[in-house]
Amino acid sequence: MVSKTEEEQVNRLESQVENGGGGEWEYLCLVRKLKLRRSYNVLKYGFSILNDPKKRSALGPEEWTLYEQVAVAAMDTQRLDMAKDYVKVLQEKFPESKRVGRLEALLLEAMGLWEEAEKAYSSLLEDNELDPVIHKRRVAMAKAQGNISGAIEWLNKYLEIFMADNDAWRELAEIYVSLQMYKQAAFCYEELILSQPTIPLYHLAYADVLYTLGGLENLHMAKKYYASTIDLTGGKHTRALFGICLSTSAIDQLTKGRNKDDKENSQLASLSATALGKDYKQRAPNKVSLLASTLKA
Amino acid sequence: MAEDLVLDTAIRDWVLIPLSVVMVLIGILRYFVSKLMRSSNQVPDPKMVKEGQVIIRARNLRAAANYIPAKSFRARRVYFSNEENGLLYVPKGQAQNAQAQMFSDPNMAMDMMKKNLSMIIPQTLTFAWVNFFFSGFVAAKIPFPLTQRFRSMLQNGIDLSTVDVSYVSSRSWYFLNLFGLRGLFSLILGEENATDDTQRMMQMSGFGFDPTKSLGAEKDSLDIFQHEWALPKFEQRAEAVLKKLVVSVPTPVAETVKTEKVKTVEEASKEEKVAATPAPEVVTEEQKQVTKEEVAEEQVQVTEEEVVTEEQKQVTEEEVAPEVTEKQEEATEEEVAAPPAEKPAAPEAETKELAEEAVPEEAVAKDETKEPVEEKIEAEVPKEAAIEETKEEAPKFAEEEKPAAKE
Repeated sequence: MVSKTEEEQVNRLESQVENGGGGEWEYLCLVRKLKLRRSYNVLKYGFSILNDPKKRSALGPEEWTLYEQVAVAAMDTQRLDMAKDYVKVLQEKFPESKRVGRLEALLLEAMGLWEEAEKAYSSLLEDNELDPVIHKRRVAMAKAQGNISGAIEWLNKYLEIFMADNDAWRELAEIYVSLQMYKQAAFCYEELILSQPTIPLYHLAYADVLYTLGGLENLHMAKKYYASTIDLTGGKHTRALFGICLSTSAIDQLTKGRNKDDKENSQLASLSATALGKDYKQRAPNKVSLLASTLKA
Repeated sequence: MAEDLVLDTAIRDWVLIPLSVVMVLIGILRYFVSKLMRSSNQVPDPKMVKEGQVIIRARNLRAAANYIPAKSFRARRVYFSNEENGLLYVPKGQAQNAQAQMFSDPNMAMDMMKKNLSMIIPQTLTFAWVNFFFSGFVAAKIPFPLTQRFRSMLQNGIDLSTVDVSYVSSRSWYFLNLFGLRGLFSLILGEENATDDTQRMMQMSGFGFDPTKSLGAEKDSLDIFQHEWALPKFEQRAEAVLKKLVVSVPTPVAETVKTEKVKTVEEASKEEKVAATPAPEVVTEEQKQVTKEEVAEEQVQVTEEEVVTEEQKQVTEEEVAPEVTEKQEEATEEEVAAPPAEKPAAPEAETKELAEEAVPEEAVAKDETKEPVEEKIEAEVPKEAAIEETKEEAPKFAEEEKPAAKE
């Protein structure tokens, strides 16, 4: 998660560097620290630094990290020739290094040679059973090849060992949703909510999945989670407001004959509808009547 | 008898300062030596890692269990504490094994010995040196008064029993430096330096038990835990939040939106509306007739066609309205529509993507006001499945980037 000040700093540095001011090295360091994915920029500025022998020697031992960073950026922007050069330089410097081995396998992956990359990763894993990065690369490879079920399998294995990795759970949840395996996706989102209960994003996604699953109980739960999202975001979250309206109407449809506790339900729905109306009015006044018609349906 | 002894400044020059300097230097030396001697078996034991992660997960479960439905909580609890293959279940035999194994494992033992040695030897040597060279005189005066009990500890070289306990020998200065320079070391050497003797000493006692014991502890606390689903409370809180939001900005009377809401919702809600906006109710009846016409029109057609007709009307009405501001509004709207509370990179990328998609569409077909507006509407207006589909595609897209960038 990127904090706000760091974000501003990155943006500032980026604009500064783009306009020809100095500070490329700081920009690259910050990008590396925050694990942002600005491959094009990284490649451009890193390339300029690395090609200038004066600047390069000024970096000292950091030079090799820069090589690594730029190599990855080159692979990301499909400049495989440059990537190969950088990896070769690193190989000469650190012949037996696991980190460089990882880079090589990454290069194979970028070139599309899936089997070789797979072999390389397996051999790396033999040395070090517990390298989370390699596991994740395998998952990413499976996903890139379109082998979603393989990706799921690898990801599950990864999560058996590293259960506390939130991003992996999130990735798994989204894969499940894309495959419409909503029950499993719900499980993943529950894990996410457990580990970070104050992030409204997870509540919202969970509510969406529940709503999609359908069924009266799930709809009730979905409504509750939309409500919690609203609570966590101070009532301004448009999507959650819509979610409440929709789930309320779906529940009403399902419980047409029997009027259970309508009282508090309608309060919430009408309130959210009003809030939506105000919101739209503030930000998109021409859509207001559109909203009205939608909400009536 | 608190006579004030005047201490020679030479003491300060030749005892206090050199002692501190020497200790700092020795600390730095120790740090580098430990770095060199650290063996390269950094491979973490898979079992340990897994256990660590299990503990974290179980702890999370306990901490936030009130946020997930009861069924899922119970399922997870069984998963963790099941008798045969629960994750946290540790048969008694294994508990003993872990510790024994720890000590018989040659690697581990060597590591521990090395670490211990690098701690103890410099300490002992420095202490002996201090005692030999800097004993027999008063080195410093402690600014606050002390009781007589400290005399033996702090004044060991001074054989006069009438001297105030505040006057201490250099041994106490040594101890003071020993514990106080830790902060300085973390400044100079960065975090994780090997000079945290006291911490290490404390850790020694609770060594081998840690994983198995904490597993058992987690299991017990999980068994005890009572699940109370907090979500119903959330509904009420959400209501409260929305109420505040709705009431705080008193909107003017003649608004078709509000009055339509009054119409669509049932009886109970009308009371809410009365409390919230007293004025519109008066006007509702007048407005109702106006809106009835609209309703009649709309109810005939399908909602999507409605959209088109509505938009056509609007567009013909407001030809003057510049499209640029519309674009901006939609861009901001979409940006805020993504979760505003947290700001991970993904939703921003997602909204930027969506906004970017919307913008070029408009730029292309600027003359024909209908089509791009329609497309935008269909991209925006969250009909039931539309939200999930579009937003799922976009985050999936952005999330694919994430694991690749996670190197």
